[in-house]
Amino acid sequence: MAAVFDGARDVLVISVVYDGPPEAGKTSSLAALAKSLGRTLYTPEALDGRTTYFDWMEYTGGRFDGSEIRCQVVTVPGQTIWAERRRALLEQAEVVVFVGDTSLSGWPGTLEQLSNLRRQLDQRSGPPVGVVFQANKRDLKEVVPLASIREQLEVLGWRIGVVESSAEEGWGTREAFVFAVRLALDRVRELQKRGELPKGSSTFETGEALFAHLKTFIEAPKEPVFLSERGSPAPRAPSADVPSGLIWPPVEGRIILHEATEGLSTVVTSKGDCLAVASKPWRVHSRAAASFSGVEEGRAALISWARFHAVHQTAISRRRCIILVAEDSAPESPWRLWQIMHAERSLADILIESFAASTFAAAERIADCARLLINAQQRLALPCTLYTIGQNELGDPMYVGLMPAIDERPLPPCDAYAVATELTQLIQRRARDRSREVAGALKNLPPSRAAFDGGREIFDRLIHELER
Amino acid sequence: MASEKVVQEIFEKISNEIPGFIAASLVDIDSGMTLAVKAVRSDFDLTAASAYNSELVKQKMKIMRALNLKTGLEDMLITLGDQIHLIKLVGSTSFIYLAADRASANLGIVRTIVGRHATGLM
Repeated sequence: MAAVFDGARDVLVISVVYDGPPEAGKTSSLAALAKSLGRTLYTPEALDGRTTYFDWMEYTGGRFDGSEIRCQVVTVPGQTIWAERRRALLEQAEVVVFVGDTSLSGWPGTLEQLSNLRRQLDQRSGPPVGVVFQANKRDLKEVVPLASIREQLEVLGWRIGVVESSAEEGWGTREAFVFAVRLALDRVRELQKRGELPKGSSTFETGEALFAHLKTFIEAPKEPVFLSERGSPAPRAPSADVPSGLIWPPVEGRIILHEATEGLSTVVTSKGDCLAVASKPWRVHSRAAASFSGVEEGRAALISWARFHAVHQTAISRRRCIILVAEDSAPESPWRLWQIMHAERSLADILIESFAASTFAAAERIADCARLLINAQQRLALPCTLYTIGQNELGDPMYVGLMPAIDERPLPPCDAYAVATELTQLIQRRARDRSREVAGALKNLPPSRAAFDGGREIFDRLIHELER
Repeated sequence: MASEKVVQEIFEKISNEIPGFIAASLVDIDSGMTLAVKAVRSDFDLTAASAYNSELVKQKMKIMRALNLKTGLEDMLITLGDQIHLIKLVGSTSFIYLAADRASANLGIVRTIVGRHATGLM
């Protein structure tokens, strides 16, 4: 998403990121801007009207040294629990439009988030990233006076332009945007002068590609990734033109391939597993050991694994396929077995989303997820964790993780202690500042919520850990 | 700079007062991006026209600097076969770009009306 000059299309691509505290009007601002510019907004996920990943809009206009300017405009999620997603998006910004809630009640939160932004931008290398302060909610009766806003920003060391707006009423957003583009071009000129302006195509051509990247690399457990192993090119990623006989299931699998494999490129992790970054919310994965010297050996493995999938068919998420792909174009190329699955919400996703709601609602979700996880452990012979289990339409546990290899032993049956530990770790990682509140809410849940195998033990253990 | 609402109101007035009005935009000189637009014809690519005209304005300013002209650029009038285009500078960072049908519009009237309303944009 960072600035890049695409010589092939003669266009300069820049990223404009909208930051600001929760409910300051970032999404409303982008929606108003999109309407004004005749563009549409793409929002991959939202919860109760609040952005959980980003909002995306593209606009091509203006001129830079004779070339078109293509603006990729995104908003960040404002809530603390999505801090990592926000950080990843801000790292790509050429310029930031900081949407400030200038209502009297919202102003302290605005100043706090502004400090946060400064800490983030201070870590960026290269020329400074420009910031435009969009003073939003100017339509309200009780707002901080403009002179006071300017004064306070100056005292805090911010020498930035201030543009008044009301995203609700649809004014001021375009002015702020154009001002931001101007600042972005200043940065681009500086990069050019230093010989540091990248050339080529944009890292993320679409909002879908950015969403897939965040889900794959920001949400996934952290492990080093690299593009090739000791100088050898990474194995070829699956594509839609794979011959019949090398895909399972044959019909649904072919449909999935067409959807999931546009513009894939492979990365190899330090463990030797292969991941392919997909342009839509798909997970494309191959284990290190899933490489075979010949197509017949690979096909035998594909058939065995297909049978394994079929055995678990009622318990796993539906949109999946497995596929055998030659690793390169050489005649003696080894063959690699891949799995492609549509990313579905896991119990961990459900819990993380619930932290944005009231503490009581979060406690109820914790109780639900604990019950579902224990249930899954008892019913499914697959590795069951908060990240691999989700919920189907009937409310039953459903396996949403990567399918293990046939000979991979499932995790040992998870006892109440282990479930409580996993829940504690997630809560402390994502909502540490509310641990005690959550413990209090769990205590106040009706006893019937713990009426499942190991339920009482899980609750007691969780409350004990969160209150420490 | 006037607010977006005020700019749109001014463009409404301009479009009503100029016979043969086709389109108008308020354009940021540096980026060529439009701050406000008004068009009565959908086939007139105002975004592209505004962007290219910003290059024209920048080139003109370059020429003036090269010639060491100690004066400001006020406006640029362009006469095409069937259209009149006016570029009216507004402050140091933006300009109004206006296109009108040559058969219906009068150059003097266009210049006067735009000039009068441009002060409301400062």
